Amino acid sequence: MATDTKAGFLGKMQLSESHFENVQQWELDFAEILSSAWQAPEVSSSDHDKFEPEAHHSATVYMSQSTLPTKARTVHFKVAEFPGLADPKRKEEAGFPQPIGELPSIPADTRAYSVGRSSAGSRNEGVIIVPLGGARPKVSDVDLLTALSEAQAAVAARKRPADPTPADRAKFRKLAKQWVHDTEGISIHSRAIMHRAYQQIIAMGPIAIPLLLEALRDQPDHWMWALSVLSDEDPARNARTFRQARAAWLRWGDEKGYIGD
Amino acid sequence: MTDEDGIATARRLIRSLDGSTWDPKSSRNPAYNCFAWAARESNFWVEPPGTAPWACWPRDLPEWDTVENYVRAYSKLGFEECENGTMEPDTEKIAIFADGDGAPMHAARQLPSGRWTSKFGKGIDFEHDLDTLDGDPAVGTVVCYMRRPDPGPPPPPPAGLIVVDEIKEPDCVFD
Repeated sequence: MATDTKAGFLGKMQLSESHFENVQQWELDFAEILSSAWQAPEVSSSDHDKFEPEAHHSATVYMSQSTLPTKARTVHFKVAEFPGLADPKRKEEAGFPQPIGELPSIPADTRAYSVGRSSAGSRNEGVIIVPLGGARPKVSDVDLLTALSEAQAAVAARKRPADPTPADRAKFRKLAKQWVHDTEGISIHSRAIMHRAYQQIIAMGPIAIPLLLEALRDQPDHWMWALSVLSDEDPARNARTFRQARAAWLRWGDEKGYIGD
Repeated sequence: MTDEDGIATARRLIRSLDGSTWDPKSSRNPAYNCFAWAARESNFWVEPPGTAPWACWPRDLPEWDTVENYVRAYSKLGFEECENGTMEPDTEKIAIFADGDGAPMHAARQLPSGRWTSKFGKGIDFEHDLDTLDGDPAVGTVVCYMRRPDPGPPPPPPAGLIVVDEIKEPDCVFD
């Protein structure tokens, strides 16, 4: 069995219900995403009815570099459900998950695997591997929406920083504990966040994002300001309560692949 | 943080509680603050939303955390300034605390018993005598009293933070 041996990590994404409302735009987006890595992809319509519009999907995306064409004008792809995802043993046997930068072995005639489709709110770990070449797949084989979601995730996840080191975690724990200890009785948020420890957490940079999300999930506190500063996003902009803001940030963290259930 | 931690934190930071009679009533809950609890609210964090866009604040008020603006905010809930914290029939009173620079720090609400209830930052609620807190560095000094017609029996102390992914909550109390 021939295999590809190296893959480029592209990333993760999560679908929301809104993605299912405009399939055509997805196709265009997918073409654009693919063209950024390959060139001038040709994306056809798909059997959309197969796709059940669950609220969230996400996938880790690996892309084969060894078969990446440099001058290809057309990208053919095929996405099939990888059967082993739900079963940890089978998943392990198949080589999933692999550390970033390493590609699990796959049959050479495979266009792509898409794994990790799951229901709303759950952790979705998926892999899409797209070596090129061979016969053009049948359109009916293409689960375009899944492929779109994962390819889009790839682009979004390129911005994701590396995972925190144990030293990062220890530093964060110390600073977070100090901040909570010193500001527990402060009723003015804008003053509490000026505490030195909170500012030092922000100064850790984006590496603190997953740590802040974990803290927000496990020991809810006012970490949203630091998250918005570090990510330059505000998924909780429409929230009117702490709980709504917390839920929005955790959803964002899950979509970006920072945290799971 | 456990309830015991919350009580210990209040004891540690509000030194005037030592030797006084005070009664912890709720668990720690970062979803609401003293300014919300003074208005009987436990779903909201009341503060100008500069760094906390999710905070509850009257849309037509300046986003500055001054005593004057808190007075204006409470006015929207039927409060008006009054002279003191003495019990009056069919009246609910609140007290606004400020630091030495006049910046708001805390608010407390009078209970039908004559005692007062306070939410301590992100921490616990507790009942206390007003004199106990007045002047403590952790909460400041009372700089303003307000009152409104008694809206009825006060709400019980809320439970701790309820953590779920999707929450349908009422609009901001000022909306």
